[in-house]
Amino acid sequence: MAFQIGSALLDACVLAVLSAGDTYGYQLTQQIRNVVDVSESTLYPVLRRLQKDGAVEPYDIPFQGRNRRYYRLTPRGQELCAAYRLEWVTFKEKIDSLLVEESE
Amino acid sequence: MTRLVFMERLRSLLGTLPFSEQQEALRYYEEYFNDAGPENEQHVIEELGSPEQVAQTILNSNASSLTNSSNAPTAQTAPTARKKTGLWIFLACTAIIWGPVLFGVVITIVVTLFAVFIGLFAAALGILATAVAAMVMFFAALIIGVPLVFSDSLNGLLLISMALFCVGILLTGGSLSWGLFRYVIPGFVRFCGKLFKRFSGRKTKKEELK
Repeated sequence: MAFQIGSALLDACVLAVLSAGDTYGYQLTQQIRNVVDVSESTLYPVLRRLQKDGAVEPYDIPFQGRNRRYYRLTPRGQELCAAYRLEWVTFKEKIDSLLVEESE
Repeated sequence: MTRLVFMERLRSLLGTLPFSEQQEALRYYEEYFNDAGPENEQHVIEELGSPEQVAQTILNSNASSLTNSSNAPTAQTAPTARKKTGLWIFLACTAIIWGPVLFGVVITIVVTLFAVFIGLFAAALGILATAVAAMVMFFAALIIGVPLVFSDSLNGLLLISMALFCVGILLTGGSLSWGLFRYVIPGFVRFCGKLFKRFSGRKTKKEELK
């Protein structure tokens, strides 16, 4: 793809996926990779950063004799996600106004 | 490359990170392999690239999170996060400098308190044992002494006076050990508990600040 996905956009994507439901690292990575072409190793730092900012919190659920670490949004993460969504709409409209040809 | 080799190399490459960060990252990738399943192991390793690459992304993000931890749209996030990291560094430095000293002091206090507790307990038990022995002697002297008064009055009276002497020991020792068991030892334990609670309470407050 010609367009690069920046770290803010990646944060927004992770928050949006988590706002649809809690999930674990592997699944989260697959879900994002289904849509955008990011390396498998980029998601861990994103998750860790969001965790440190208090937007995402981990919790463990036993699965096949081990603990699987799930992630969920905190109230702060939900706020952040809403703010990103709003920003994205204005950003998208602006780029669209430059990029997309008017159709009759 | 196998998963084991991959993880082992990643572990050594993350050596410069704080231990908790290392564990967190290694745990994530262990789990990642587990969730991908053994049949996808080679695929995951290829997709992840080399352990060096994975380590580099983790180290980079860790370094940048110290300087600017957030690029979130809300303006108030960055300063609080930076303040927090500053405080964290300060606490870490303090802990490193004072850690060994504090450790020694804490151990000394704990051992001293424990020794005092053992001492009090032993004293109370010893006094109690003396009192019990005095009681046994009191009965023995009385049982032998009273009939003896009629046949050998001098020795009989001696035994009775010994019995009364034992009553004295019994009353003093009994009340003393009762006081120790009932008030002094529980009081001491409560004092230790309060001391510990206060100490650990301050500790958790500090952790909250982090």
